[in-house]
Amino acid sequence: MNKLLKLLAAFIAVTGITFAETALTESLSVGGFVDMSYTDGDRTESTSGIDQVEFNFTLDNGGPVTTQLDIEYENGTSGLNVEQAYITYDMNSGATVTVGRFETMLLQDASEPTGLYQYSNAYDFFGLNLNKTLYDLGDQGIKYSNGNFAVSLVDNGDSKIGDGNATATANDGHGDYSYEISYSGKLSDKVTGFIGGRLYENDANNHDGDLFNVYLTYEEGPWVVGGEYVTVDGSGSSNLVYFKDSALYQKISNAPAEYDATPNVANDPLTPIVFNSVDVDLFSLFANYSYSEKNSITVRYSDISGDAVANNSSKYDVSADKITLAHNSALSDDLALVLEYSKEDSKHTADQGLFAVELLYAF
Amino acid sequence: MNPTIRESCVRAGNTGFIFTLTFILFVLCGTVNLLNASDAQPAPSDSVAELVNAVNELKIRIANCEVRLEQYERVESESNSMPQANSREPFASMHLAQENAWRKYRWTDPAQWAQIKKGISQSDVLNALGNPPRWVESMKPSVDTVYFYEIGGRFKGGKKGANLKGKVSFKKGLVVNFQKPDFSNFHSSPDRAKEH
Repeated sequence: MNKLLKLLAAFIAVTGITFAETALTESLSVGGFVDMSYTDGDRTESTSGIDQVEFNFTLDNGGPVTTQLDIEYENGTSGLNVEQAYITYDMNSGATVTVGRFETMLLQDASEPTGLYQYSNAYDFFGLNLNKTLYDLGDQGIKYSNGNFAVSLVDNGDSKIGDGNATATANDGHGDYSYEISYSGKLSDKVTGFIGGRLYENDANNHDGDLFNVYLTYEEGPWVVGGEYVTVDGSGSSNLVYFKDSALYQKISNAPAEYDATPNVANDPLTPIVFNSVDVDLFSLFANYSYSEKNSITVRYSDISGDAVANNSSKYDVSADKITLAHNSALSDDLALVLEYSKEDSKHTADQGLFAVELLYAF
Repeated sequence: MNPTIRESCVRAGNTGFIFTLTFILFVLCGTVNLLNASDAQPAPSDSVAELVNAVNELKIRIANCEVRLEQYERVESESNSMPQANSREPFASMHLAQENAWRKYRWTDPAQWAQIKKGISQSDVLNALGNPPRWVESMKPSVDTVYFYEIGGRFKGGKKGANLKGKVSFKKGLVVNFQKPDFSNFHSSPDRAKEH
């Protein structure tokens, strides 16, 4: 009691001080990061600038309900985006129910650059980033999680779950939705595992496709090694935008740039070719070694292989691999400098090298 | 024969002699003062003004201290005299204020930092220091999470105040490093030291 009183008296006594720099209340907190980079490679002109700025707001009154709002600015996209916005209800039994817009639990790569050892994602092939495609699906729905287990039902953009109307977003006249189920946990003191999948359905009771994902991470002293396997099998209406993007066809077939145009544009003499179905496997292996308290190096190998059938019934080989070497240097607890060189090998194009310098600040 | 000065003085009487000597001394002193004008001491009136200003400043500071002391004594007396069961509202507000201070600011007590050691768990740190005002997932491979316990103060009058900065680093849920705030530096600020 004396200690309490002393503390209270001390803070009443220093009423001459205003804590202007403590801008947030006890229940409202904010975090985020700034990500900037310089890149140069064979595929594109060199770029430099801010890639992403993100603010994460959390409202937690100490009750069972918490609210999360993640707002991001990404270079190349229009203005600010709401990356995540959801409400979580804690059922007081270790279980939670989340409603709103939230990211997928799938894939080993973190959805934010602050969680990566490197600059690039594992499955960034042909200039198109499958990791990012999955993270940016913009799913809205409901998720139940209990410890390591999670299951969610999400709207994929034109679902009847959301508004009762099928829109033309997916050009299939049906609402699309998906189930996602995942389980993650420690298999031992040093091994962490994840297994999960996503089933795509539509309101015509057609199974549109599925995505299965498993990965393991092993930590031993300064070493962290891991491996991941992903398989994607689905039709073009499964909303796996990566494979529906006409740019992918253009990339792997060396088609003229016109194929990259928006589909179904009036008077467009070239109807862009997209893929109606895909059957591809992806995997990656990485090893990260910390050679000092602040520095680490990472080597990663990632691969994509399989086929995609285009809307003109042609079958295309979607195969490529990539080797990545990265150096991560922590200038402080909240500031890091990442250097990366990666080389992508595909039979469709000449080898594509990429050099990147990335500066990350977390707050 | 001209009379000597003394003879003149004798004739004119003692008064004239003293007047003459005083005049001569006055002229000599004035000459010396003019010669030493470059290193002249401040006039007595300036020193008095400075003293008056200093006294006024001290009065203001003493008044401020007395106000702070009154606040402290009021809190202490109210706490001691407050019945536990009756007058629920004052007790509740005091209790909440104390709880709030304990929850948010107990890390400003050096004694709480004495409990922090390498190898203790994250929950032990939270029990000792409370929730950190800021935390980050560390960019350093040797650290997972860092709790920052910081206050940046700004004193009245626009002076940038002393900062208390401490941090605790965790790896796999255990403390691997910590840095206590420099309490001596915080209290060495003249305004702050006198307030306590």
